[in-house]
Amino acid sequence: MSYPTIYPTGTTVYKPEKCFSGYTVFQAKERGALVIDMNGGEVKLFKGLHGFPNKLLPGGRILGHTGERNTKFSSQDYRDVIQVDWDGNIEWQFNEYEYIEDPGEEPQWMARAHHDYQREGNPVGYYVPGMDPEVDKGNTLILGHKNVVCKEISDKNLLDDVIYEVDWEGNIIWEWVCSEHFHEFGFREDAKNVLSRDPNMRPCGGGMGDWMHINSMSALGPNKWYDAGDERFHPDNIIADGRETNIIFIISKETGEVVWKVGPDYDYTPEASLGWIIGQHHAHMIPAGLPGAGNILVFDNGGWAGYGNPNPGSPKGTKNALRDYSRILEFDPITLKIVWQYTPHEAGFVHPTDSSRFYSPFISSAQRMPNGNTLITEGGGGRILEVTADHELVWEYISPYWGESFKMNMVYRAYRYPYEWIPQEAKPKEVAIEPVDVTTFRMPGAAAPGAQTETTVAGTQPYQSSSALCVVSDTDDELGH
Amino acid sequence: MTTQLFTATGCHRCEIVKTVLKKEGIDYEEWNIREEGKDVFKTFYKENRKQIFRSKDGVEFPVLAIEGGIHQGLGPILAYAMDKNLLFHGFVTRAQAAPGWVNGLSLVPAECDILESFFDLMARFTAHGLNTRVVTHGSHPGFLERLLDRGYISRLDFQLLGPTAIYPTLTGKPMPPKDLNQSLALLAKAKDYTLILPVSPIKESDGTWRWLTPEEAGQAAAIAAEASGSKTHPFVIRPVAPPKGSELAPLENKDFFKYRTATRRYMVKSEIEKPENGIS
Repeated sequence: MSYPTIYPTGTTVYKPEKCFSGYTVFQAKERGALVIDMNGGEVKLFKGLHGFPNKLLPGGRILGHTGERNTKFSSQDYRDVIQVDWDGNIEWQFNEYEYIEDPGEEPQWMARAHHDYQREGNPVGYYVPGMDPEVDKGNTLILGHKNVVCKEISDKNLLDDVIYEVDWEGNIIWEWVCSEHFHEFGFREDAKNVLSRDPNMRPCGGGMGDWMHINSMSALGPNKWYDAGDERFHPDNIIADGRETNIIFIISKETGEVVWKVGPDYDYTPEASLGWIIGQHHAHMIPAGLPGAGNILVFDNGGWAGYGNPNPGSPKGTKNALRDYSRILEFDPITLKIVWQYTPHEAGFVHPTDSSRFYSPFISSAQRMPNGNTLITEGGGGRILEVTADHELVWEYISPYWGESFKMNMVYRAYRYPYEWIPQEAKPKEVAIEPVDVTTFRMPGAAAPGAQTETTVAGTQPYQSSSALCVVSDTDDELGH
Repeated sequence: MTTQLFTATGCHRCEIVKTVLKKEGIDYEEWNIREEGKDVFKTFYKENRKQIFRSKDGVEFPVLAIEGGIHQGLGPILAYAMDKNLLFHGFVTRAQAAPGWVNGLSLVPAECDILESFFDLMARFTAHGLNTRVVTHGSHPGFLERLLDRGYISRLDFQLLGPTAIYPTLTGKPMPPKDLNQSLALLAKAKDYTLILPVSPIKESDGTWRWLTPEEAGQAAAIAAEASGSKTHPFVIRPVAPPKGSELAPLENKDFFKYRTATRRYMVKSEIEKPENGIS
């Protein structure tokens, strides 16, 4: 997180021979949905098309929203989900989830969509060979909001999460309401007590508790676990995660029950093998046909999240789990063993002294690609990177778009799609960008590297190989072994 | 037979009942079940267990044992004291209610000759500072308006059974469209109300059963929107259990989304009532 004042934006690293090259789509802060090529060339800006997130569909189509509800009255309620063609024409839209009458605003239907949605044909919304999403038919799963009062959780107005399914004609045909399953999430008494007092109250609309804050939702799709007879992993079942509760869970599409979960606590087995997952984003099952299929892939943000006993970092017990670096975890949903990870250590940073250089305490995502690479959105700093299974950084892009009203270049979630999905455009030229040696890179006017004179001081000894700092680091650990 | 009134210490409803019985000239023997009447009620309860409702919180008082029957709760006892026909025709039934409220009041019966008794009863509730919850199917619009104008109805449950053509099948009585429209137009006068659309089983003339269809539900919602001039009324779709012996399969949760979609075209706040609260 220690960004210098001056640093390059756009593509900074590109090793074409090691990448799953294609188009990358993300929401450029307060601009619209931006499609870039591997060199950062801006192929198309869908100006003003909101994206929470944006997702590409075959044929140069894109999904997004026409706008957001006035934030005085709710939090992160998007008006609709729309599909537009390459020329920006709306091909499909849905907004009839709730009729909203906010003071001083035009009464209108709203989808109250937030964080995620999925078009039938593809469980996760990113490229999976042989699993193209439908473009002219099919149902859409939408993650939405609904205000409820649920005394079991708190006596306060709650901004609850819902998942609903709409058909192509816009009929809602299925709905799941999170608070109705509160008792299935396994909260301890300390967490329940804190939740009851402060279910993550937001100041909008007179106050409402965004108690769970689900930030991803996808179908499992065909998978080896179900094929082996484990009904919990029925392809229609849905995986979601709650940022505020540190829970990743799967619900039965048929009954709505929570049939699998990790969290909210990671102190004991079986979750202990994962370490504490905190404030996570984009938990999903890697779809069949991709390396790691059947495993859970998640951007474990760290930061601050959860409810429980107060501690020095959380005097009131809200957001009481804390960590100042992020991890991408791929783990087996049966054994809960980590099978792949990208943490500050794999990123090449000394842990923990330099770990916070890989850190986004909010938003972010991870996409598995056909060649085994993982596209990571380290969202807080607007950084999108592609790493190989061996953790080599082969592509990196920094968003040059800072918001006018929200002065960050944050990227909520980026996706990579094959060139063929935009047939309107010729395949872009791919130009390798070797990583610059930052030890010699200088701004114009800055002095060249190297001391002008060197004087050897008699009696000095070589430096220790251990960092031996004020705090213990993993370099000490290595020496200890 | 001596009329017996079982009361409890600190029971405000019991005090109201005693006042009204006295005013109506009904003599009775009072037994306070917390004091001297404890054993008397125990024996009485044993002998009349089936006629006395007991919730998880216990027996609701007062209980009146009078020639011809046992009446429990404020509403039924006052109705008995003021006009027995109110009980006989179903204008008043025993129903659980929160403190300060009287439930189980209904304008569904069609016996116009006792409406005035009902009016007096509602006036009595209001005079005692009680809140009232009243059910209507939309009949007696003139009478409903009088009650609303006087402020006698604290909460109105307006049950919309479907398009008017379906009322005779469901209730045995016709519903003149004019009456239904006039009643719906009165929603603006209600302090607190909900339009309730029960998804009812319907027995066809050939004896077969079917459910009210989403299309019929949509038609009812359209009628309500047009007659009331608003599409934003609180509106719930109420699941109903299939009648015993009908072999009509219960609707599944997902089936109700079709009803919500059909009604939301006209009543935008339509929601599905939770089955655990709504099965009637």
